[in-house]
Amino acid sequence: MAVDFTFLTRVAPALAEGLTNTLTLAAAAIVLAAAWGVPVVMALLSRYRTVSGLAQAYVEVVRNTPILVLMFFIFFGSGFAGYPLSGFVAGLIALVLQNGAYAAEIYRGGIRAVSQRMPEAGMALGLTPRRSFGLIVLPIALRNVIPPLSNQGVMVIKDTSIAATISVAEITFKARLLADSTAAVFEIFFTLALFYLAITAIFSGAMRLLEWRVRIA
Amino acid sequence: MNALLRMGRRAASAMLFAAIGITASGIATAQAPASRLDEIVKRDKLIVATFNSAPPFCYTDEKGELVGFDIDVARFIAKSLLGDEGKIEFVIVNSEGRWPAVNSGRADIGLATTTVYPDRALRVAFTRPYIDSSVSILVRKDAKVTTLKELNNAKFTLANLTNPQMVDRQKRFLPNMKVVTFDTIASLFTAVKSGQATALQIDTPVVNWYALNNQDLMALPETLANIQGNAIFMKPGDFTLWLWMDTMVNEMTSGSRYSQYSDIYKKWFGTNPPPQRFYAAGAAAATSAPAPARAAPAAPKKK
Repeated sequence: MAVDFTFLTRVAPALAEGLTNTLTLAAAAIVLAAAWGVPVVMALLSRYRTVSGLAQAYVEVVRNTPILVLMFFIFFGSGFAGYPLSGFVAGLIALVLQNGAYAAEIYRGGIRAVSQRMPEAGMALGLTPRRSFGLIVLPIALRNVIPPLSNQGVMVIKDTSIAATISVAEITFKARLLADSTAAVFEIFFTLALFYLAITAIFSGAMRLLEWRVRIA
Repeated sequence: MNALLRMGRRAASAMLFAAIGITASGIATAQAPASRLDEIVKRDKLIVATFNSAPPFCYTDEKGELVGFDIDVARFIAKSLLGDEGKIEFVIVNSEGRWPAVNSGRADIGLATTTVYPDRALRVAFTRPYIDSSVSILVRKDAKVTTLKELNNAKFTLANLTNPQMVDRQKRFLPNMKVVTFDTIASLFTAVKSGQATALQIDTPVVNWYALNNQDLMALPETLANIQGNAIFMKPGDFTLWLWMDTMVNEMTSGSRYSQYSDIYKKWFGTNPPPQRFYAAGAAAATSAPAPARAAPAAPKKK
């Protein structure tokens, strides 16, 4: 079975048309999800039972719902409600809602992983609980969360492909159109996989670099 | 680092073995050019790739069962080939998933309201058509349009399936419309129903079916294409299998199995299929209900 790899040069330009949409959707979703995770984790760790209970319920609902279902729900639901959102916006909201919940859980884990003794030591030296958290716990916790956040970012990049089902013209969408017109499915999806591999490799490489730059030597 | 290298080497050798395996199996099939048809008979089961959301051809009913014209035709083929319409397995695919389903060998044949186009015929082998088709527009009544000309407006959105024929037709007939694109007919329909799109384009019988079952939607009287043919498709290069399937289609549409085919046709479309022979149309009309004009949009029977 001789495989002709020249198809890459034919398929890649067609897929590249969707690259802007994939990259903007992924970047916006990663940044907004990381930001949305902050109020969620604050609610999760709240002293008030109702607040933390509501946050817990939110996290469970969006974490345990497939992203495809969330996207369909928001995209078609907004249409039925009379305020049709574009596929891009609906996809972005779904990605942020779900990954914001994951990010909150990651933040919670990062904070919990810092030994309780450390802020206690800070308070013993006269820091207020708030400053003890900000000066001692947070810097360690932030370093803790980089690897899992990076992991989650890779998930977001891959999940942007699901937005193709709600008419977002990103690279998977282009690949499907091309696959239907040429039926050269394996060549096209092989090239598509290379695109995702390149994007995620660059992203995880950057995150590794960040992890290394902020390491506690 | 060393461990990583070792792992890489192990993976590389595993891939090499896999490659050798593929080559070896390629040689084996080259030596014995057996037809997939023998395999189907030996297996005693026909595997068919189809849709599950394209009424009235292949869709899921309220009971969750796969039903439709294509499904009944597929079962009838299984009965003619293996003696029992139950000796069949359906593989559900989406629009672009039809081609790898047969080309990879996952399914023997595909029956998925699939229109024959020359560019498709480069990659899969089609039988002759088993039903005429055309392309119609399903539109929301609240858009208040009755012609293609009125619909061709930048304030309206058209829902397309992920295939290039849709894009070509939209550019030709409705170039001013905005476009959204989906991979299943169910999503097309939901887009129009939810207001994400004003209209959708799909095979005429599918449009008629939706229009009949949804008071808020209607079919435009104009069509976007002439008569087209929907056919059975399979992996190219297997002449024995293709010949059997093509013969079967001929037997159904104009030969010994015409009466069974007519029963299925009447069950789903409420009218007779095109006559067995165009020159015998008068005779057919004399014995049964008037034969419809070819490709006249069949009025689907409400179930």
